[in-house]
Amino acid sequence: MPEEPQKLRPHPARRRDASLARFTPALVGYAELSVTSNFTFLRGASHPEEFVERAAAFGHRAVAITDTNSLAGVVRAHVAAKNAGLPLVVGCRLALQDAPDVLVYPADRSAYARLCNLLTLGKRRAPKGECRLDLHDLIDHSEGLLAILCPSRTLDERALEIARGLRRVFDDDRLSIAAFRGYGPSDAERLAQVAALAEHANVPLVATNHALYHHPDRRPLQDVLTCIRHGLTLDSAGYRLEANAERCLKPSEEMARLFAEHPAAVARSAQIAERASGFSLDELRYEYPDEPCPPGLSPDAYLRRESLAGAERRYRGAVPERVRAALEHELALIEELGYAPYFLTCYDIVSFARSRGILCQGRGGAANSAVCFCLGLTEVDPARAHLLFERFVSRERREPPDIDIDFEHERREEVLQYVYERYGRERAALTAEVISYRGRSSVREVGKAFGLTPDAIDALAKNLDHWGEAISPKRAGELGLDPRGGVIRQVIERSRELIGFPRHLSQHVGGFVITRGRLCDLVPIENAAMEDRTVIEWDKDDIDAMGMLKVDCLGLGMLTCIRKSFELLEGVGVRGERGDRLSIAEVMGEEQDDDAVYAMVSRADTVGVFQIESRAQMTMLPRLRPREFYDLVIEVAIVRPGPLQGGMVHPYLRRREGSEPVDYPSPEVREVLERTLGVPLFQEQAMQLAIVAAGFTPDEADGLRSSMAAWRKRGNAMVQYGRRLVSGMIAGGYEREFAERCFEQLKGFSEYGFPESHAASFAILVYVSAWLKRHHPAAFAAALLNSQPMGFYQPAQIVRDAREHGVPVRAVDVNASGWDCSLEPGEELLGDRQADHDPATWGAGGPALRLGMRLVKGLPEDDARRIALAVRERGRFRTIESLWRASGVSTRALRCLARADAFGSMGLDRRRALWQIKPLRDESLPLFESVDATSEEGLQRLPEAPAAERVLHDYGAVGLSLRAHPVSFIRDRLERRGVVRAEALRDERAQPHRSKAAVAGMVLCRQRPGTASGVVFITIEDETGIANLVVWRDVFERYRRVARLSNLLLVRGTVERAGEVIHVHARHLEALDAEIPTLVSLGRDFR
Amino acid sequence: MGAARIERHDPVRERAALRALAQWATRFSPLVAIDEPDGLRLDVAGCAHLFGGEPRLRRTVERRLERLGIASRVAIAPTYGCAWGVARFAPPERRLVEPGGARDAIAPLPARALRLPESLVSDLDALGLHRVGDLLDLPRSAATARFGPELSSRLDQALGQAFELIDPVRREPPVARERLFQGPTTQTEAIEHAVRELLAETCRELSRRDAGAQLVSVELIRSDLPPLTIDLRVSRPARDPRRLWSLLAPKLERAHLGFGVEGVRVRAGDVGRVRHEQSSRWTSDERADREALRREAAELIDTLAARFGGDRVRRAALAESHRPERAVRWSSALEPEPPEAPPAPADRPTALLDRPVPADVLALTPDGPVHRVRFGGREHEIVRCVGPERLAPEWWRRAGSTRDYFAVATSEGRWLWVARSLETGRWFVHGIWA
Repeated sequence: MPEEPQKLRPHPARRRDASLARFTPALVGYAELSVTSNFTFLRGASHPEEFVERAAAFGHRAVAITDTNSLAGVVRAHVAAKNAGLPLVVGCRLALQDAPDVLVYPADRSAYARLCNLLTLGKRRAPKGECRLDLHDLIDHSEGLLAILCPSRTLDERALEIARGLRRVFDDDRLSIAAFRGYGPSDAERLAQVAALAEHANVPLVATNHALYHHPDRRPLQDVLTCIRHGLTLDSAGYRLEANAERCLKPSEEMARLFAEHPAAVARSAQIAERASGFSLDELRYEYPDEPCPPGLSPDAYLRRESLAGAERRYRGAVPERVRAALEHELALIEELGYAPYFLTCYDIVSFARSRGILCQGRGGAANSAVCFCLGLTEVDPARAHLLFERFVSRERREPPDIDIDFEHERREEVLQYVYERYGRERAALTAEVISYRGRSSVREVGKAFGLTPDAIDALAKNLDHWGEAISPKRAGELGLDPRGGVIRQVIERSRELIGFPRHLSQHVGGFVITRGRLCDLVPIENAAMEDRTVIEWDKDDIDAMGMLKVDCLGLGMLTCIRKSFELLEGVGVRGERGDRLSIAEVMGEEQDDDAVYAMVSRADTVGVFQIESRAQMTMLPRLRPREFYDLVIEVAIVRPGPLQGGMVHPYLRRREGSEPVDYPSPEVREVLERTLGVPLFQEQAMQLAIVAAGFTPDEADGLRSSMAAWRKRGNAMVQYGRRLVSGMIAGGYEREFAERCFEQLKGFSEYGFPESHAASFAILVYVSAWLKRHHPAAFAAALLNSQPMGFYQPAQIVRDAREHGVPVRAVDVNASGWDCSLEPGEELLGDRQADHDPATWGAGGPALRLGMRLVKGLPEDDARRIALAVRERGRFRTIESLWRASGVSTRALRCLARADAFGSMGLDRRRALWQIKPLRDESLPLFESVDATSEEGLQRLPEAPAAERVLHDYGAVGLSLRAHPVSFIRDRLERRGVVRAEALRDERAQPHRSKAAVAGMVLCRQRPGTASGVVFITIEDETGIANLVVWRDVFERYRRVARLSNLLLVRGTVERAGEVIHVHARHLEALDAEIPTLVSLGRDFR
Repeated sequence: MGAARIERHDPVRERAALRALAQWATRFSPLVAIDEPDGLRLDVAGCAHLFGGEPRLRRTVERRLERLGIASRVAIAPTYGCAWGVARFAPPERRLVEPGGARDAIAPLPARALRLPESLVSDLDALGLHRVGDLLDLPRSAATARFGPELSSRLDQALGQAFELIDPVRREPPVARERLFQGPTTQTEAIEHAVRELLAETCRELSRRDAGAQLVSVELIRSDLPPLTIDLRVSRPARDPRRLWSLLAPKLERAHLGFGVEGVRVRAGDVGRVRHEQSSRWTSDERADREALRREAAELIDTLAARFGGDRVRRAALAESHRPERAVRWSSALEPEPPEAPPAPADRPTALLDRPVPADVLALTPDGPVHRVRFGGREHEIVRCVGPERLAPEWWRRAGSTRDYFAVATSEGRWLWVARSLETGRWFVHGIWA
């Protein structure tokens, strides 16, 4: 699973312990009411929280955030303002189609709802990212809004008419007219005109500075944003740029000086702010939907009924006492906190998925709940696991629980549409995802604004890592660009400022917000880029900060793969107990301790298996040697940055191997840590330890957990908890040394540690997929191929792995393949049946794997299905022409198939098939009709293709070859250069620890784990297997180009052996791509 | 060897160079054709013996090209198709194909040696038909059904079984006229008369070619001195003999004739196309007026340039920049006019001083108003003041200082544009309203 991408700029709500700025109001009462933040994309040049902090430092009475037609930045500002102790004025600049801009601020909760509705109206009728509103729309929604009219450039009769009209609408002194002094050409004159307009219309003036940035230093960035917006360079943007740096926040005294002739206008700003503070985002009450509950039954009663019924079903009438107690405990807490509707909403969604045969499973904290298990939301059996409900629902935290549910990735859309349908688009929408500028995108856009040539921009951007590295003088210097030179230095500085700026709103992968009332009373809703999707303006962090419910409906490839495996097995007669399709519960329930599965896993024979197929996991498996299900839970959790950094892995492994004694200072601690041999590996253990050893309440323990999560950013709270933890443990009779060691370990994995419940949910999928791989390798491989793209490996490796396990694999063929890969009757077994000790026999005697046409590059699914249908109806075809006429597919599709060599059953190889297709014409040309296309004339004249060419074409058209490995064709040359085969590394006598070796192969993947301090792991493959390379930072930097871009590598280095784990530590890298010129890009980079 | 120099690919210049090379190559054969984008074809039938036979001709061409600094591949073959392929794909020792040897010469070459489109070549490659020889063996009807007639016709052309026409370049002689006198003369009238006549002839020739010249050179062949060349450069291609003469005459007057001039030569350079002069009846009046104005301005520029030298006549144009000194740009008047920029967003002085002049200014507060300005050795009482307008530097160029500008009216009714640098606090005058 890829790491959650690092937040470029943490949401203010995540900076829990942000020090409270001391806020002293200035003597002059002023509040800036016209503030365009960077949530008005490509216009505002500061973050909302930067405005808030600077306004607080100036002692302004309040600050507004008024982004154009948007409330996307207000939650961040709200949180920051609370931290700073400064009132926030929620507002918005309405850009109207038929009138000058109007700034509006809700004065109460219902006016806020009207504003949200107004924006929703404008957005829903416009394409994504736009908003169309007229003056009369504003008038319809004007009740309770305070407004500031920004007068148009020319102050004519129409301007006066609009001002007078608005004054009637915004009665009760709710309208003002904006006065502005930006050091333009004739400020004083303009101000006098605006003042005259205000007087004629009988509307008070209000002083504003129409801020675009919080500090004058941001003017250059604002100019660059203007260039990006217009697609111009700084030199050509001309008067589109601002003439000076005055559009910043200014101290109150400065505003008073600028408006010395209109002191009332300054005072008016504070009055408006005062009136607008009649509304705060804190007032928004979120309410759970009540649909999922049948009429006449309270949500709590219904939840109780369904949970208990679920428990009966799960345990077949024999519910363990422990589970019963857990249920009672949880139901009581859920009732107390009023969360029942939330559980029922998730239950409703999952029930729908089940009814459609869509596999799903909850992950994360929810798996800590017996209620969730009994409702079928999660699969972790509370009778076997150690649940800690407070990790999931906490009385003290007062945050809504967060249930994430994984669905089959290919069928998640059905679930999403169900939610829209059931709750309606007024009440359900996806959460937004703020897409921000990152290292590469920022240098590209900024470079263009500076007029760098496309080549230079491309070189600068490509020289940055995928990991969001920011442009730096070093990287620019590597390209021969002088980083001290004016332009390049400016590009670097501006790019770095731009990183973290929002560039547009996208949709979150699956986070739904559902409300009882209208959602558009809480937040504006807009259209998404995808049809049939609607998205709110706030992202996940905003939602959290506002305490709103979110159900994450995520897509998980492995669930698709498992469902497809079960389907394929059903087709060949492998079924569950009751003769129906196998299920996860059945595999888990019956055979959870299948030794053959653990034996396979312990050998790191895990290509394709969920989670534990990664390079890091594979090196851990032979050392951990899982023997039972719980070992898989540990395996999933342990190969994570947290435990690796916290130094827990090695003590755990030593203890497991018996080379280090396991001791516990007390029976209570033993109870908590016994299952992980005294080493805390999970968040839950940290919490339990705090409870049993340091006397924390469960809620306090959760506070410890959440402070751990923020430790790296700001350590204060964590240190406080730490002091309490240590003193609590000492008071409880523990040695100081033990207490401090515990604390250090907790700190180590705090940020990245898995909760045990999450690891347990994933371990279930690990077990089920491993079980399928061990006992049904053909079906598992077929399902993996049919679920691509997913997982770590390309089809070539999956097929290779299947063949190594004795699965007969058959090539794509028009007369035998469907769109998907399928199972065919296998070969008769002559010799021994399967032998446990020999993986090469596991697939023998079982079904054969027929590759599907989905592997054929460029072939449309529809064409493939038509061919399969024609074969089903008419039997096998003998000539391409007859197939073509019967199926009606295009010749383009036939050519794709010919390139994939899929006409073998007609006796035509790739070249001959292409030759036969060539005269066929999609549009019927009577003149050509006379040409006998089926004639075999010329067929014998075609030269035979050399073996290497066939293999390379196989790779090019199907992504794999059943014939040979490309490296085998240059083996002679490699041998002359002293390169050994990958399998030779396994021979310890030939290649002892620390011996020198050279290997060569195709690059399968490159990884740079966040924890490994710049080490890059590269996996290469030759005809005998894979070799794992470790490339240290200095070597990587030296061979940067080759290491990042080459597809075929020759590596010289040192063999490092640790048990069965073999690595080659690279010293020297060489690109061999030129040796096989047509070898296309097959590797998968840096995931 | 020097370091590599990288130049931008310029297809237009490249084509022009190839055309020039084709002219050059007419020394080997009267029939030279351009073969875009990078080849020339010469019909050398009957010419080779003039150069000592085909092998020597081939070597001569190669060597001469080398002397021009051009690397080349030269082949001689019985058919053009064969020569094309052999020149590009065969090793040097096989680039001379005897009559009857075309088939053997092309068989080992890759298929693209037949001048086939790239898509067809990749189709053939996919079938394993990599070499011309593979194609020679194919049954023609089956091949045509698959690859269309082009493959067959290219094969035939290479083998000499089909004709191929050559479209030779014509030599366009330079426009030049010459007149020799009976003997050396110092009579200005005679010389002038001759030049005017030649100029008229030259213009007639230019008109015949729908062309005009931007450079007219008059060469005086002097009896005891090296020839004297007088160049006239004009802003647009021209062919009006009277106008050209009016510009040339003053230059000719100043010419040093020495002991006598034996002859004159007039040559038109930088020849470019000129559209036929249209009667204004066909265009709208406004456009015609604008065009007329433009023509008159061009004539004025030419007159001035002829008097003072082309580099001394400059044109001012508005440029889009907040920075006053960058809001006007000067360029040579003989260069094409830059596109029009929008006017400044605010009123600007009619005259901007090249260099801001330091001034003593009395203002009570930094934001004005200005009360008094000492400028040009005089004290000015200020009666009106508009500003400040704050203009920040174009930070991406060289950092400068932000300035506050004031438009101020003196008691005499003159308006000055004064500014204060925010960095130094110094005042200066930057412009004047006329």
